[in-house]
Amino acid sequence: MLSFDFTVSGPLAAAFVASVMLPFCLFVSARMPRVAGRNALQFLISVIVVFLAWAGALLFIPAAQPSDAAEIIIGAMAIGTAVLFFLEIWALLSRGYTLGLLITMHRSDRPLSAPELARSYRGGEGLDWIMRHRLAGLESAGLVCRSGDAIVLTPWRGRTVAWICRRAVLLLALEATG
Amino acid sequence: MIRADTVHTSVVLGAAGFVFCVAAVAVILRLRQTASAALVAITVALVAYVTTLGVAVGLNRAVSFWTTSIIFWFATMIFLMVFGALYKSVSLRILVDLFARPAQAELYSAILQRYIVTESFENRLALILENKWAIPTSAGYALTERGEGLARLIAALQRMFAIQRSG
Repeated sequence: MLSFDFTVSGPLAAAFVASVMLPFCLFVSARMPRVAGRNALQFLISVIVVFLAWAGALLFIPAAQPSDAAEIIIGAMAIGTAVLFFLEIWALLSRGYTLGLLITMHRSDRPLSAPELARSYRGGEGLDWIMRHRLAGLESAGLVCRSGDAIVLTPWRGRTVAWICRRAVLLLALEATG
Repeated sequence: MIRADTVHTSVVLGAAGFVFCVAAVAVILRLRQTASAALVAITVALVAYVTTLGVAVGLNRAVSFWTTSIIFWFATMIFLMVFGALYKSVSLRILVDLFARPAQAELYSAILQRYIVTESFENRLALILENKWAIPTSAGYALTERGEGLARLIAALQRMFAIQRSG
């Protein structure tokens, strides 16, 4: 006997519609002059719009009104799943190192040697850009700090996060990472 | 409205499927020989999902398809995000490398040279060659037709979402 119940509740249907809106919201927010070039902020704005649209549907559309808290939680998780899915793609498009190398080759009108590829990366900024960009992120998160020419893990936050990452890498047998 | 016991069964089933997925990824990554870790994680997640649905069919109890699927995929997507970061994030790699150094410190130039310029760059280049997106020629690395297709798709998506430069 097939034991599945395929019933879609009102809040869940509204969550599916709101999730489909996410790439369209991204398309629009990416063209807003005030957040031009700020990919993370564009994504955050899109996510907020999607959740607000869903909340509006729950409040004002009778068919989407929840009958219990579980329907709201499942609906929110459905949107959360869609957000994580798009975030994976968005992160690859905006921060992907390997894809960045492919795009560099694509934009060159001739084959590139390894040193040329490294120099031409990100429109000529080179691989040093990655180091500066990622370190700026780590510094602003309070995970590392500078001490003269050296980069140092911060005593509590940096060491704790690094320790957790190290454990997780070992647990998943991901010795060759990065 | 879905009954409370159906929701409960579905939540437990989705959560159990997720736990199975994480355990299976951890075990298979230890046993794998050459397969890419990312491919292993995604394949195992899909197999775990199908297995979860299979168990649901065999339970002989009412199960909500959507609740089970959402519980499973919400947790699994978070796991895959963390997995992806541990596997390929340059930032986390810098942190883990610093953690292994004496006094948890290293010169900027040493990290740049050892990791960014050499190891990480070479890993990416090897991945590009392994996937046949590019081939080495006497003049340097040239994109294959497959690589051109992927690069065009990425460039089109970047244009669509006004992402000027990636990396």
